[in-house]
Amino acid sequence: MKTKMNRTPLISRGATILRSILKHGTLLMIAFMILQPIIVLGVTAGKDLYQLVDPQVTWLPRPYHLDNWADAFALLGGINTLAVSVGLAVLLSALQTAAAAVTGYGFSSAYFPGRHLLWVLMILTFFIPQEITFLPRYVLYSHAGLLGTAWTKIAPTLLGQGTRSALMILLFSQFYRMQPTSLKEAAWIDGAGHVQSFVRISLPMVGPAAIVCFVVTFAWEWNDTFFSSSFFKGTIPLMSLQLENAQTLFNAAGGDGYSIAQADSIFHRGIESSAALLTMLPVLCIYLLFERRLIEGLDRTGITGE
Amino acid sequence: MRKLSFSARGRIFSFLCVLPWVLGLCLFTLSPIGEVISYSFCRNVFNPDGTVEKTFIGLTNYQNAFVKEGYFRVAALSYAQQIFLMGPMIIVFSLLIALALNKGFRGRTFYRAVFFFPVVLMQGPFLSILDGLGSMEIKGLESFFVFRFLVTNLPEAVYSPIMYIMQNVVYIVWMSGVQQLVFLSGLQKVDGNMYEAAAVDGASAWQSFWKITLPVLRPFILLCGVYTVVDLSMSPLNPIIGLIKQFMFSKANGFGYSGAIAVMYLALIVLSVGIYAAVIMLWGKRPRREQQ
Repeated sequence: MKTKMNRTPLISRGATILRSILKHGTLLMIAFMILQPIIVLGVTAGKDLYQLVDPQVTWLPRPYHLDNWADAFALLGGINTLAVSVGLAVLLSALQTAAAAVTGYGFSSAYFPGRHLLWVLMILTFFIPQEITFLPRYVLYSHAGLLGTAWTKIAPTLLGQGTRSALMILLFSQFYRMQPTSLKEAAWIDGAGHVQSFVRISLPMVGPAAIVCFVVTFAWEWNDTFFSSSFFKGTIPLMSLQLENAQTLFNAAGGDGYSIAQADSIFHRGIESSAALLTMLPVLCIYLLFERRLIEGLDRTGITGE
Repeated sequence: MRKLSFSARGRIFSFLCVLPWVLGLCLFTLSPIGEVISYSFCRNVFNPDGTVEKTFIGLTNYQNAFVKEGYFRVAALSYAQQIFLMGPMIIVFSLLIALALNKGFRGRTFYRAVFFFPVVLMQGPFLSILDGLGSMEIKGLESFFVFRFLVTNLPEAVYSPIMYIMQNVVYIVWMSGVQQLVFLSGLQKVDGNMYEAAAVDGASAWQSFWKITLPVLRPFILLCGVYTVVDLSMSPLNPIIGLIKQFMFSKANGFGYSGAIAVMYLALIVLSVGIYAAVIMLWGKRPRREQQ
């Protein structure tokens, strides 16, 4: 404390500036670490063959070629695939949000016998990766003749067993628990039933949780290729699946040991990069659209305990 | 229905809200897990009509997975590295970032948005493309002077964890988005007056961090620890998940083999979560007893 008092204002101002430079420098470096792969992909996406093999072109290919983007869009299946992928991801996220909103309410309103046991089971399902239950689900669907249809994903999501549903149910029930019960009691005195107090009072107040659940589930469902490729059997065209197929195609082209073929895989790098970025674009749009409300929603959750 | 009291109807309503989830739990989670366990003890043949023929073969699948073929042991070792080396670093890193972003300054929202970015974007095929392009690891690290010094002057048991963490810095940064937000909301719950009181009593910033901030954050650290373990366990770059996928439809081993790996993996996850929870809870409780 003493040394601080003796400092002249100039030195202490210098120290503040130095500290803020250090802070911003470190934070910018980490931010760059996160954004760097995307920048690299964006740069590679604009290179033609000559620029790809030219070691002098690293950051700014001039001219920036847009044909890669058009080729990549066609490779991914065009507007049709885009529409189907967005539609499916939106449907699954909406179902997950609805299921988690209802289940979370059941866990946080009036107590019924056995709720504690179910709550513990719910927490335990949070620890189970979906890959573990994959095989029996596959057998189940194949038995029921559901393989190759969207029901393979809709049914579990609707019943609260989708991608990390437990986390979402937890999120919603934390939000419901933060609501003052006096609001519902007031509605009951005015003659509202339990259904009405849920729909008219509790539901409208969990908007932030719904946004978090929707955006995050959208990203998960959008990026899932393992389950959609095994369950849909190629009947539903999805952008992420097309991207993965293209990737294996390119890798196969370059991986068989011939030097010419290996060079071939470099030639595909431009299209591969633009395809990857195009596939990411819808998620990016949704993230940028909801970013502030998403982060504020997560900030307010109190998922972190009372 | 008319005869039931109002509160009884409330209980019925909340049970009805949970009911679909209970159905789903039985149909899509509990019975599949039972099935996987039974697969793992059998030789299974998948018939075209969708039924499975099981022949009991005891522990053979487990022996194959764990003893005869080394895949699971290698993958489990690399999983342990992820959980116990990368995991703590993710928690420490996200806590540091949360401390840096806690006070309002220009650019805070930008950093917050960028740091949360990987949670939404770095997944699925995109992640594997980045991995393929080599953006996930920092190459040529060994040639830096500092690390050459470490490698030549320290025993392997000391330098190899350090090198492992340094090589996976990008991954650590990418996996810490949610944890940063959890710590940020935790830091908002710290009463500012406590710092003031501590400063009046002559505590340095360092001391008040250890004596005020960390104890308040303890439940948040526990939550982040559990979340980190689960997140790492479900990551597409997780070695055991890769193994389960790889052997799922393999004709040579049958899917009982993959099932045995899945069962052992489930046990590993529960064990890891348990270790994390125990360590964080014990570590926080000790100083309190000393004070009494």
